[in-house]
Amino acid sequence: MSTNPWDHFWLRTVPPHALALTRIALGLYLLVYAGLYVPNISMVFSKEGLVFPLYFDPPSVLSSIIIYWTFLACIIGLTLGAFYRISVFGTITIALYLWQLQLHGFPTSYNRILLFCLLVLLFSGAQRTLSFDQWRRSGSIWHWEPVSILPQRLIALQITVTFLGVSLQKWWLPHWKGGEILAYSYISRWSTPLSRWYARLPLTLVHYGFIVWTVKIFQPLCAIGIWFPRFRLLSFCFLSSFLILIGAMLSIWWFVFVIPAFILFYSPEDVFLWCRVRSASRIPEKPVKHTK
Amino acid sequence: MRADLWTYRVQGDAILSAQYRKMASTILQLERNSGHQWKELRLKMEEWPMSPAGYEYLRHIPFIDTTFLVYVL
Repeated sequence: MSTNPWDHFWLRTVPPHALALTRIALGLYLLVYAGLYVPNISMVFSKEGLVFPLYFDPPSVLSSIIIYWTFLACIIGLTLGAFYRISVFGTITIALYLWQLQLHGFPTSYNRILLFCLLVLLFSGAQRTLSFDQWRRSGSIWHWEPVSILPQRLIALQITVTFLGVSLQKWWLPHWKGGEILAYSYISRWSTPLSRWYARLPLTLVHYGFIVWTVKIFQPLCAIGIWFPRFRLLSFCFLSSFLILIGAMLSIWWFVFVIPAFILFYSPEDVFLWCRVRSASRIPEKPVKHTK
Repeated sequence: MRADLWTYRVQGDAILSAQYRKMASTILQLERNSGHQWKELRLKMEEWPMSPAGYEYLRHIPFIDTTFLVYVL
């Protein structure tokens, strides 16, 4: 272990369990996200549907179905850590292809974060435990091999920057000076039955303004605070509640994949110990030496 | 369907109009392929006030503000 604090923070070698848990959670999320399009593949992604490609013409119905099921297979591979790099590369490539076919028409910042996370995970070693590939390499999914902490830090930093960016936007834009934007959002096309019920409550704009200012103040504070052990749990709870509420109240559910990724803000050594205790010590204390 | 076509909207009215025309032509062709003998098709954008009672609660005349987009044969 380096004694240089900079190297220790960014480049030390650590157990891969935090990354592996993030990989599994992200894979499950992607399966749900991609699975929602399955009933409408031909209409959304083939030349028999309403498709507006940016670069490449849409494929035939049969080709689009084959491409989409290959996409799902790649996501399953990512989740299970099976043929990991091929699976992640396939997921990224097909996701970009589907994006240029259709999804570009929907302004989606979450797609950019997802792409960044997948690119980092591709070379992260997130398959070095709790994976099919590790079972192939050493005979047990519980075995683990050390990885660099850098990918974990990069994804955590991206999450922080994202929260700081949307906070800056709220401080900058004139619509976010009071509670009107929230009150209107609760009855907009993004509304949900829960938000419409909330909008019918006898609440004044002062109430909505209080919520807006609470978010404006605590969102950036928690984006920073989550790096510090003393404020981590509080920040985790606030940011998770925020993400769940924008899903439940504004139909913006796609960011929930960030919640399990909050584990990346914890020390990988602590996550390793936490996993080891809960696995009834099936996870060995030392990394496996056998590698192919 | 992303009816606002944001990717093309930011590229100017000419490109946006062309894409709406393409959308209308595609819909017309798909319907004809399905056996519906449509002769023409008009696309229009409707806007109506928001209501806590529901997304489409006020989607009725006289609340609707209609913008004509394209007409294809």
